[in-house]
Amino acid sequence: MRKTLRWAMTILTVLLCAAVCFTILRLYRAGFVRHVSSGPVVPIFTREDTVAGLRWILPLLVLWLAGAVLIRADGPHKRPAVHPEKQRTPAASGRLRLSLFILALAFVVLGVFNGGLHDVLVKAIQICTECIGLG
Amino acid sequence: MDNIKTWWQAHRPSRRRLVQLYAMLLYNAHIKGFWEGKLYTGPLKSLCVPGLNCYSCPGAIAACPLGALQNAISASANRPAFYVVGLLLLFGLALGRVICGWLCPFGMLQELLHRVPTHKIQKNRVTRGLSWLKYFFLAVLVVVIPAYYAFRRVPLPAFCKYICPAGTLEGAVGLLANPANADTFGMLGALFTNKIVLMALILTACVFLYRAFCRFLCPLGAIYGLFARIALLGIRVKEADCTGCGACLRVCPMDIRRVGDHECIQCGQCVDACPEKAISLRAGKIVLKGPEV
Repeated sequence: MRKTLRWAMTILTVLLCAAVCFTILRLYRAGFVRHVSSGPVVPIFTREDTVAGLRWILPLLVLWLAGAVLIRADGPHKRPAVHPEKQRTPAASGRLRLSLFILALAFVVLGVFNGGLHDVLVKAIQICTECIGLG
Repeated sequence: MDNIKTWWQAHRPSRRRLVQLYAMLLYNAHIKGFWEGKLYTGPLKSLCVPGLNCYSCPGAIAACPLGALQNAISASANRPAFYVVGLLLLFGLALGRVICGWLCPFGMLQELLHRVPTHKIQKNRVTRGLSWLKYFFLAVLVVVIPAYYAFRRVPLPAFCKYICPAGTLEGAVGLLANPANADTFGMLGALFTNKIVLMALILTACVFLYRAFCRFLCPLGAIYGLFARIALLGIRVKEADCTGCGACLRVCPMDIRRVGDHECIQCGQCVDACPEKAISLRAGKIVLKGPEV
């Protein structure tokens, strides 16, 4: 039973991923054709089309979530045998750590005074168009 | 009632999971932003959180260190990136990859996805080889490309723009899910499509491969991994007690060669697995998890 459920979840996960990718690509393709034929004013994506397109994925997503939550997770997996060797932690150089720590503090202070902190603030309070896919 | 108890015992969060959850809630404490679909614009945004958390997430109260680094490098023609490099040095020296294992919201998401009961792909020589890919991404997408474009006066945070799934999930989906940002849809195009598809593939890979993004793609993990030997906080092995049985390596889901190396996310699973109690998670001389001194 457990094996069957695991297979079912594996297939469901792959299907869900495929469904999301297919839907996004289909929406893009349809929107792009519209954008090219009707002019640059017409957007490729619209909120209504996106929501309508993703709606059919919802039952799949709900099923997947239900399976993820309700089916008991497996215990620790059997991992491959490795060539055992004695473990050790190389001695950390306290002097190196202290020097780097002082350097780091110096960099932060320099950065505050040369405007680096202000740059981070200015960038972070605006929507990062690159991050969200606007380019 | 017994079924609920059994379910809870199987799914009860560990201490590490709770710390990850608190970190995620702290990094995204601007709840109002989710409601209004707007970013937090207060002074805290001049600081960086240690983990991967996009600053375009409506809830984010501070900046992402990776995004800040790329932008600082992109602006390095005007001024050197002292501030962000200094912050990353501080985080690395203090915490190293403890950040990955305990303080990264995207890491937590990947671990939760990996708990979905499907067939899993175990670590092997291929995954070990692929784990070097993140250093390539760090060198090329985070350093070289932004630096190249810096001298052309065109800011280009290449990793954020082309790859980062945290930005897509937290920034794009987080903002676009709010009806107040309906106008933004009109500006989406090929780049958005690519990023969404890539995000879906990465998140699916995380279901089958433990922390697939962390292991193979995350430049921030690559940066913190450089501090593996000198971070104040981390896994330590008492060499005298170690018998070389390999139990720690077997239980570890990451592509480590040695406990506490640059691939180790300091999660502490090996501490429980060691039959000789030779491993501990320490902050200097203070034992956080493991046998007392």
